[in-house]
Amino acid sequence: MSGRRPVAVLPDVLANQIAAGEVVERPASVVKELVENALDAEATRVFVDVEEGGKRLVRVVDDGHGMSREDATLALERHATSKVRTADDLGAIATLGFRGEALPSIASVSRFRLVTRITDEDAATEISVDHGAVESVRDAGAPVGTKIEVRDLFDSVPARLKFLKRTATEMSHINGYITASALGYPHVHFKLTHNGRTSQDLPPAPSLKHRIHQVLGGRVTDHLWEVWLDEPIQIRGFISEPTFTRTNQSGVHTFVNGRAVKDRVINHAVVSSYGNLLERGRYPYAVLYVHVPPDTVDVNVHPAKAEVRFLERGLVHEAIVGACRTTLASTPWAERGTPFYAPQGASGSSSAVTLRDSAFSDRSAVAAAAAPVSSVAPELEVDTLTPAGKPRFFSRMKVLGQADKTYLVCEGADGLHVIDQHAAHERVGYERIKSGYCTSRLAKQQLLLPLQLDLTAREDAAARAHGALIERLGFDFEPFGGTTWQVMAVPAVLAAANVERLLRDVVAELAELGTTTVAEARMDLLFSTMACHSVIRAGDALNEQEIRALLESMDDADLGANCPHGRPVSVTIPFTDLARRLHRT
Amino acid sequence: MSTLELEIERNAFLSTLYKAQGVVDKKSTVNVLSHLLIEPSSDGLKLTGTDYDVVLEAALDARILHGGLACVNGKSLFDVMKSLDAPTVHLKVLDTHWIEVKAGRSKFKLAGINPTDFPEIRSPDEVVWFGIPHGTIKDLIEKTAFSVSGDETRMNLNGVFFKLDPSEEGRATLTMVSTDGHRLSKVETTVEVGGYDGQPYQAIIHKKGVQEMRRLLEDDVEHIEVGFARGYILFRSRGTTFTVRQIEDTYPDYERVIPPDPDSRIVANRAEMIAAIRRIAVLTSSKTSILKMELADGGMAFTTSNPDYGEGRDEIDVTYGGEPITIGFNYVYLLDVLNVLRSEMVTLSCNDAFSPTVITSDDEPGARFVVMPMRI
Repeated sequence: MSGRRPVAVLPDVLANQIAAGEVVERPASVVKELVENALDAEATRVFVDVEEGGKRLVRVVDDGHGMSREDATLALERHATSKVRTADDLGAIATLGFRGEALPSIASVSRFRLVTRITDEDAATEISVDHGAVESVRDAGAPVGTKIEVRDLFDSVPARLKFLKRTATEMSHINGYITASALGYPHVHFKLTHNGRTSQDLPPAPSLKHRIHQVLGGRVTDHLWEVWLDEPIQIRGFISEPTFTRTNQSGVHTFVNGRAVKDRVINHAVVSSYGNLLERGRYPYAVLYVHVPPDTVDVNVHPAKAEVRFLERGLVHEAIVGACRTTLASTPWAERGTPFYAPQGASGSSSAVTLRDSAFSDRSAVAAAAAPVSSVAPELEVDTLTPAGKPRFFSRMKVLGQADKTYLVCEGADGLHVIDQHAAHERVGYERIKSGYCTSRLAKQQLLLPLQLDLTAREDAAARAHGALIERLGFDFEPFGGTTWQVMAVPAVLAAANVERLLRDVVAELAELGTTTVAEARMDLLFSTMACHSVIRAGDALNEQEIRALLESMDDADLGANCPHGRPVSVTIPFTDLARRLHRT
Repeated sequence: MSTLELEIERNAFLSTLYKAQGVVDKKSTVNVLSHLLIEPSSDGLKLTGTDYDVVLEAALDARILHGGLACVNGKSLFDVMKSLDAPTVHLKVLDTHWIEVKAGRSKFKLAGINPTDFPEIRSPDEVVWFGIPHGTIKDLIEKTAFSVSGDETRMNLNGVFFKLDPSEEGRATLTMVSTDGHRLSKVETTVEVGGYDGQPYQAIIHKKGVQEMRRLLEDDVEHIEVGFARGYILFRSRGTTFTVRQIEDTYPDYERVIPPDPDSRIVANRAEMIAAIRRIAVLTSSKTSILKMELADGGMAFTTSNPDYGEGRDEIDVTYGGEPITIGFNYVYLLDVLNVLRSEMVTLSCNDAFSPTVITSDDEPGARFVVMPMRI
């Protein structure tokens, strides 16, 4: 008989090591867990020192409220947490950490030292743990707050050690996390050093805008524009103009109730709000804060807590798209008059918020979990953006002429504007066709031979839940027994399309995101093709009246940045650039 | 190495090359598919071309001076042949697989490729051939080819359904049907079929094959030979054969979607209807092609309203005694039907604005066209 092994309860140390595999994937996760604890302890200073990309040392020092000796000892036991008491609490988590797994897990795979003191106690408590075994608990001298050192991470777990990446890679993860935390907590002083050299030093910022400037730099912040929504959910933040983009989504920073997340629904909403304003394969920059009542979001999806699950995904998605579109539609960048970032003090009008007033940083606001979202009052200063309304940007410019029968050269307040006449007219034509379609969108081609689709159980559920949305898109889509559905009619404009694939994409997206944009994207593509064939082209000579008329219709079409095929419509050559290039300065 | 050399009559060669033009795929990524294989046969010359869906094989009279094979771009050979004015053409394969073409005082060297690169064509075995009157098959195809589906996810609709059923006195009933899911065309006729064995036959002919075999219909012949084989359907006229892949799928139950006995019948003048629709179509959106057909006592009106272009209305007299109704249509679907009918008057039958409308003509009793309305 081969050795049949009896089932045994795992010793705590081993259980912690296994949990460590989930919670602590790499040095950056240690940083994340410790920084989250510091932020939960209401620290205003979080200093992080790492050596060798965190493999040799991660040290996090905060000035938060610290722990009593009793609490500190308990904190090193698994599932010991001050943040969740009952299962009900899990339904409304307002703190960053809550699982009570982090400290014991980290301590089980490293040489661990914790020094902490609360205001009420004179002496600090120092606890040393060597790979899960408590070595000593003693008094120490230290200021109020907590210091945690994690040395030689994973050296007892060769399997994990082997998978750690190069120091540079680990550092980029750590830097990324500190950046995200800093954006979430503008009033907190973050500092990160690596092997003794300062990598990031972000003193408390008087406002979110300043923090963004600190973190992302002026080059980015000059191109960010404010997003603002109160109902049905609260959204704050900034997104970039459509021409200021990058090739991946790493410029999109999103926060749900203060927690930095990488959430598919939010990211998709941000990107899709641009529609075809974005060049193909380009993604915007965004720093976006979404506030929802804690009981409508599940953050307990993954041990690392980077993912969240919304109760009403569709609602969140639509709200974000709506908020971003409002900003995009007002094309604030067209004026360029008000730079996004003006040094504090220079403008007397801006009422800088005090550190703890910011809705996004005030943990008491986050903690007021039971209160409805609308009571979490926004305190961020309102940027002096161009008010929404019909901008008179292009038509106000002085027409200098047409170049190469392709480009319109105009003089604006701040520089020369060179407009691609085809791209511009195409954009105008596109908006016209699209709005024309919207008034007649209900036309449906009925099917003589209805189309049957077999859906998965998940898609079936999504189709049932979002029947009204699918109908709004122009499809007659009905259950046909089991998870089979029948298409009875399709939107007239898409009658020639591959209906089956389109509807499958729609349903899959509904199942995934709770909303859908593929059908509209398909229509957009169609409109842009129609627009492309009905407008002036490069090489057409235009007289001044024609140029004027085009500029005016460009102002009437609300989104002015890119042609529907994703090429920019115009470029601006600032006079300052000309002056520099002609050595006038 | 033997190289092909031959003399051929220019007009006959040109007319065969014309039939091959649809098969030699100019856009194919497989270069050899834009080529024709030329080889001697027992009584002259054999020409082969394929795009995998359709194979063309043509036999021609020619004087073979030297045996061998040639493989040459079908389009350039056709273009050169078309430009020549001498009655006889002399072809000779050169060492490089290029082909020298001489006629009168003209001389060309056409780029050719190695004939061994040409794909092997496997002819279907056990073909059952029938002779179908030229006019009959032409009518069937003209009245159905336009409503084949282009949606490649609905494979079974990507072709024309064709069947032969026994009728009385040894004759056969031929049925051809096509549908794209929005509309359906069905034509049925009973004729004398040469060599008919009284068995039922059916096939879905790939739309590409339908397109190509139409070139055969330009021949002035009494019969087109149609062959059924496993997986293929063949069309032959004057030594040229198209072998077309069948779509091996089940065709939808088309009888079920043809409404048996609609409530209202409207008789309209076909030419007047076409003219009215064309006028109104000027102002319809190019993507949706929607117009409204308003029916009232004795009159039919077509209207369009489009925020971009404006509005239009055109009326014709019809026989109609029912309640006034308005039905939305893709006007292209209506025109397609009206254009393939030949009679002076047509009959529209419908129940309401949501169910299929049937178009027929008393002079062409076997033809029924079903158009699904738009919901507006």
